[in-house]
Amino acid sequence: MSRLRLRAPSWGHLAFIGSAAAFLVWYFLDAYGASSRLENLMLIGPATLVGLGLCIFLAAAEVLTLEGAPEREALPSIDPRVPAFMALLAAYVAALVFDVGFDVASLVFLVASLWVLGERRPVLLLVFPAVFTVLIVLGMQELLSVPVPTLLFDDM
Amino acid sequence: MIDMAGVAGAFDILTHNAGAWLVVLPGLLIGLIFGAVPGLSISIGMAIFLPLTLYMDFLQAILFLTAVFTGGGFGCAIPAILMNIPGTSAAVATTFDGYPMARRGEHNMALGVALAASTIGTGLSYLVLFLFVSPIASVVLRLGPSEMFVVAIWGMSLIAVLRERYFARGLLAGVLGLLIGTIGVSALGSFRGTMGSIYLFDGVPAIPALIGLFAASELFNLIRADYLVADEEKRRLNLRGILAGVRLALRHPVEILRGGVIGSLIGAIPGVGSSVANLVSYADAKRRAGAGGNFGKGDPRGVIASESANSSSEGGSMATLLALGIPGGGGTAIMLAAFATHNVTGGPRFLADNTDVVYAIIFGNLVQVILLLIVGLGFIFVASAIVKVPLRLLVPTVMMMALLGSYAYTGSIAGPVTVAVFSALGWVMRRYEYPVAATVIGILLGGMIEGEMLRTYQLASGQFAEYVMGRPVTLILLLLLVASLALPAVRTYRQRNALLKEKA
Repeated sequence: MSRLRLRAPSWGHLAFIGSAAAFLVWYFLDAYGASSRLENLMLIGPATLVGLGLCIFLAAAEVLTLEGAPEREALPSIDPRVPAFMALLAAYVAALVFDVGFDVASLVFLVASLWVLGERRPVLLLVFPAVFTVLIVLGMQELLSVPVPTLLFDDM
Repeated sequence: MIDMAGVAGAFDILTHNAGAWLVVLPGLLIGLIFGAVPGLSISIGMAIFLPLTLYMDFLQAILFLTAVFTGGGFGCAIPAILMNIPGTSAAVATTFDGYPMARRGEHNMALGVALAASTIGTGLSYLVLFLFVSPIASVVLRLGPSEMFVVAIWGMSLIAVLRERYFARGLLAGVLGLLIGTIGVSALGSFRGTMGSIYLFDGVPAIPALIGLFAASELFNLIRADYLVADEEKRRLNLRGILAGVRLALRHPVEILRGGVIGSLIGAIPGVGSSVANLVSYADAKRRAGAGGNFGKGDPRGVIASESANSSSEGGSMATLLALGIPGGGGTAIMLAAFATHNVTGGPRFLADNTDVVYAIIFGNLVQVILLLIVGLGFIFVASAIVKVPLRLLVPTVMMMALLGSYAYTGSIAGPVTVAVFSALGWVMRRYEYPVAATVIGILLGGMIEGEMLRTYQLASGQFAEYVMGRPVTLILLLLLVASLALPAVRTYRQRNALLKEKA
């Protein structure tokens, strides 16, 4: 019988497992609060139990391993441009929520993203985003008749 | 089985209706574009161009929409192979081997393989439809909610099975997706997980969630590289390479045939369709290859299995639509709307009274298949120019298009917000090797699985066990489900023990 030993966990992975477990518990309680009838919880109840069981198993597997099992490979480091780009995406969506308009928000997002991702040539950094934004936003509005909310194009 | 008078009538209709052919080429191109552009989808393309069918006769309208469907069936493989972003959920399994092939510089061959498998798969499914349209309808009619429930769970769990290395992570990803798929107002009118937001009353928007989990999260990962394909030589497209891929696919007729049959059968089941067919077919091909396969690392047979199945599911779903009037998914739901605008109701009566029209649709689609081979070949050169674009330009522009596409789909800000939330979730999941595909399938099927479970419970009057014991098909499906879940776990356990013994 193989013995178990402790190992250094990936804290990021443990945090993800913890978040998943928290979501499972919250969603079950929310659904239970909405209606405790069997029909309402028929799928959610068992799925939550299975999910929590898997979370416990995965958390245990993260901190425990079999004696003699090969060491796992270290996770690659996070490129700093990834969180920066994520933040820009969040800002882009927030701008849309606050009715900045797809035209202005998209243009600013493209210019800022190109800068963050390393583009420094002025034509590609300024002209390309402007042309691309106009083409896409107007294309959506005029060709596909999708009423995309805009700040400047409404006056065109 | 085949009504010869109907066949003669179909030829008569098709040879005397030139207008029916005029719409096929634009339809194929629309399908290819909407399938190939991440963020858009075949259903969006069909929905946007649905109003045009008002100006067409019934056959023309259906041939136009099926052309969009057929074009999209292959179009979604292009970003799946070149960018690891399935154009739609139907091409999830195409990414498993198509993308590794592209990263190895074999993108020409992978695209050729996908094109051949797609076209032959679609053709096969319409041949199957031609031969078995009536028997298929009678089989599907016998599937009750308990069978549908097991089939849907099976389809969802397969994705976890595919990732044998991290089986538990695959299952958790599936469970999370399943529960997210049930958010919103339940069948009984309870508000679950909506946090009071009206945008969540109808549930988490599935297509934006899919875009976020697959497309946007992959874009975060692409930031690290300069080009999709690192070697400049390997970014070049050449017809010879693509044709070599076509020939390679033709050397695997059994795999194409198997994928075609699996796709046709699964496509005929309402609500499951191509998003499950490609996974089932891939899992089957992987299992059959055993240790001799290189699946997940760029095995062309993986692309063949996925593409032949997702394309052939179109014919299967058409069978259900024509024979029962039930749409198999988003695409056939839009076709159902076209039926309604032309005052046509699908079903056994429609089949009996309009056999010539049904056969005309089938023959028209067989011609579309040949056209797709030619149009698709040319379109690859347009679409795959994408590999030559530096990623620092591609990533933000595709992200912007994905956000706009999600807005077009939902018609509200809920689409972009969903994309952003699920892109972050998808990135974290990918980092810790959770299959995002399992979550996506869970989200897509969550509502349906709960609905079928509820109907089974109502039919069984609360006596689940007794009801299921009285339904042999459900029992067989359940056994298959348990076996497909247990076998990989047992195999992993044995492999681990053998490894430990070897070390000792």
